[in-house]
Amino acid sequence: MRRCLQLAFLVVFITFFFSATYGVLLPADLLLRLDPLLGLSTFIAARQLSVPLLLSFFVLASALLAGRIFCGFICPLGTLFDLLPARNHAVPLKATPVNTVFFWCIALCCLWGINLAGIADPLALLSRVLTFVVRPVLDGVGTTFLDAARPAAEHLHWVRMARASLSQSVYAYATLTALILIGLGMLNWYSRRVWCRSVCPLGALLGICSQVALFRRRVTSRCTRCMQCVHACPMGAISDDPAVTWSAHCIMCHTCSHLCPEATIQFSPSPSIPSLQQQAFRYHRRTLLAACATSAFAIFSLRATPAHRSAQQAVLRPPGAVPENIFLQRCVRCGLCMAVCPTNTLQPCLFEATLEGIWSPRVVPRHAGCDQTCNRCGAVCPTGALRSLSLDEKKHAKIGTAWIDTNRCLVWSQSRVCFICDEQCPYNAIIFKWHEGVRKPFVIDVRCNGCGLCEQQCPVAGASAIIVTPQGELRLLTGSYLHEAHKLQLELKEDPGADHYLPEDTQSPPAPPPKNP
Amino acid sequence: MHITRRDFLKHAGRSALALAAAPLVRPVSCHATAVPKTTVVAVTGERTAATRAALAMLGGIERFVRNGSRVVLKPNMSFPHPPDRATNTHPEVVATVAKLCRDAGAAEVLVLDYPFNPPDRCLQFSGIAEACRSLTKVYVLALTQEKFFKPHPLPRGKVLREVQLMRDVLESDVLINLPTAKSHATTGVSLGMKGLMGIIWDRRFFHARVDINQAIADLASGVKVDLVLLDGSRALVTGGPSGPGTVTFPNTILAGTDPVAVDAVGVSLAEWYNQKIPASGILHIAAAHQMGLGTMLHEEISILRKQV
Repeated sequence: MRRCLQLAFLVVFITFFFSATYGVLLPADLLLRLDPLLGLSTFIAARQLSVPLLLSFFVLASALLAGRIFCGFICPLGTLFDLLPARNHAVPLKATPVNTVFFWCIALCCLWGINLAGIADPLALLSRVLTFVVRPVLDGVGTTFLDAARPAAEHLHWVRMARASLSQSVYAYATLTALILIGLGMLNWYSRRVWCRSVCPLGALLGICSQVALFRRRVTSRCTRCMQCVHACPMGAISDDPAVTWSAHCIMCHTCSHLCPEATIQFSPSPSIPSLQQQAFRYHRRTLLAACATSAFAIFSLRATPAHRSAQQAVLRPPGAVPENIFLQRCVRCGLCMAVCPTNTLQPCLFEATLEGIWSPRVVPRHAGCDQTCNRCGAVCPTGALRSLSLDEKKHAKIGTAWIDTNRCLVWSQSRVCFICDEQCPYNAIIFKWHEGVRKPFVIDVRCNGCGLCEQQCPVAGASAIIVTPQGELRLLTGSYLHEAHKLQLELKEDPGADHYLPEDTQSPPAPPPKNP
Repeated sequence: MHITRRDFLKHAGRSALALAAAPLVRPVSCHATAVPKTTVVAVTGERTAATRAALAMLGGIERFVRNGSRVVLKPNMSFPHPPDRATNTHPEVVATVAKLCRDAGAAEVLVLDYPFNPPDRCLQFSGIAEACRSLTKVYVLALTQEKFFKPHPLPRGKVLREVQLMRDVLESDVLINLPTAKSHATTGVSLGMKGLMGIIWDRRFFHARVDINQAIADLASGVKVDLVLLDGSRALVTGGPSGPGTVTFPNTILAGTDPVAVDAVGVSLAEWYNQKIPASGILHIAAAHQMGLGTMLHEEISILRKQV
């Protein structure tokens, strides 16, 4: 039964994810919204209650009722670990549970306004793996299949099949993500679910709740101390005395009760909470001290650096991103925005936006521009780090401004005829003016919303001769981008072009149009 | 498109009349096969009827499409814009021609373009996919990957020796170019010959490495277009090729077999950028004329006009 539920949730997680990436409207972020670690961390870090994440309090409540059932029955990463092969059963832990330290460290950092939860959160991690690794692999496999089937399809006159193709999405640092997953798999091989016991901060949070849970493992006096349960427990949650359970580790999987030859183990409501001596709470002081030290180190290394001041504005954020500091507090690094981006312009950061911005999304226009008919990144964001905007609002959520590098532009530097940036621009932000006998491109900043289509298509080899920088970006926590853009006199309208092939306002050579010299 | 009952009856009536009159018309069409190459037909009126009339005046689609022909239609569908933006060929024109080709016995009709923009959205928003949905054997496709193109020599090319051309175009029996009338910031206007840039792979090269006007003429010299039908029902006279810009309504469908002549007449359809530009003022048309791909001289072109 447990295995069925686990598989069902894994399937749901993956289905919702891929339905979103291929454009079907299912709430892709539903399972992420169930995650109380993400809910609490954004709540504390951003000091703001995120309504979609309120769902996660059900999971928290479930932990207060019946311990870590989320870990045992729902968590797709846990399911993955159960499915993967392992050499050893869980090696029982004797030392301080590191994940509890992790959790408190994350909590303390959140108090400081630094949200690190997404880096180690199991759902966010798995979501990143699906985005950066699984999706590109599927695209590649699909393309290989289509290419292999093409001759047959042509022969059979399956016209559409013969011309079907998949766009290959690719992501920066996909190898690193894959290596992390492989590392976790190897760790699991060494000792099953070691992640869940020793690393997972979500597990730690639920473990803390489960120590006062109503339902818990109980062993009656008929126990013969055969020790089978101690060895079989996938979490190493049973101490040397089979009657004593580390409830912070127990995931309520019932492996022990099914196994017990005397049927002495029950999972039932118990009014009394076992003494602290039996709990991970006995590490209380040591854990908190360790957490304080770790978080102090984390805060020091993230904030006491010039990069914190200078690099904050180094990257282009997706349209509708709230102001940078709040963005980083809200973003849980799940990668969903990057997964649903149809042009693949959204890419993860590693150090580009300081270490604090690791795995957060950025726009890479040279790779692809931002589709002006799409607003999906904001729609799927589970925490409101990217606001969900209407297409018109999104159009006015300016992410930056394009700049022409006149040293490299074909027109400016070589007097060639090239108008690709102008052709691409949806808002006539690029106009041509006579300059030293040649019509040369200029950017009108109030008409540019930074979509980057120009930078993507610039025919200059290597780096583009027109580059979008975050200059002039518009980032609002609340309120209308349209209003703000109006105040700033932005002209992101699709009005008839001021862009004349032969401008009237210049004393320029008349028709026919100027030749390529 | 909404069809009122009245419209339906009107069309049905006309079609019935046309069918009844078909035996009478046939000898005329046979004559029309002898339409000289330099003829351009210009039909004003409702675009569907005008499209049909234009093709009939050229000798009927049967002149180009035979039983079992593989036909490629090349409309402009490179932008995710609705028809009123006039950046894409009007879906009714595309569907009308596609249906005629199919009814003339074409084995398959491929409606192809290589859009700059996200292909699914282009096919959807342009209305062309929807307009052709109910037509069997008609496939509206965007080809955006290099594997669908293959090298094709341009022996007469001055600046281009070879291009990567859509495989389907090379393997087709009939290529019908269905451009829309647009201004173009680089080349002045974008009509038939400029529209052929949608069947090649490396368009950037045109802009970055060579004289684009000569390159367009070179491309035209190496691609045999059987028929050009220019959708001048609307014209995007400023802000082209992507718009937004001023849209005027010349309300005219042009058709012909001389790609240079059709473009030359096309230039006279509207005032581009608020000025009358002679065909010779559009450098790629002039270049094609010089290469002998056709004529842009009005005295050599005979224009057959009709109103529907």
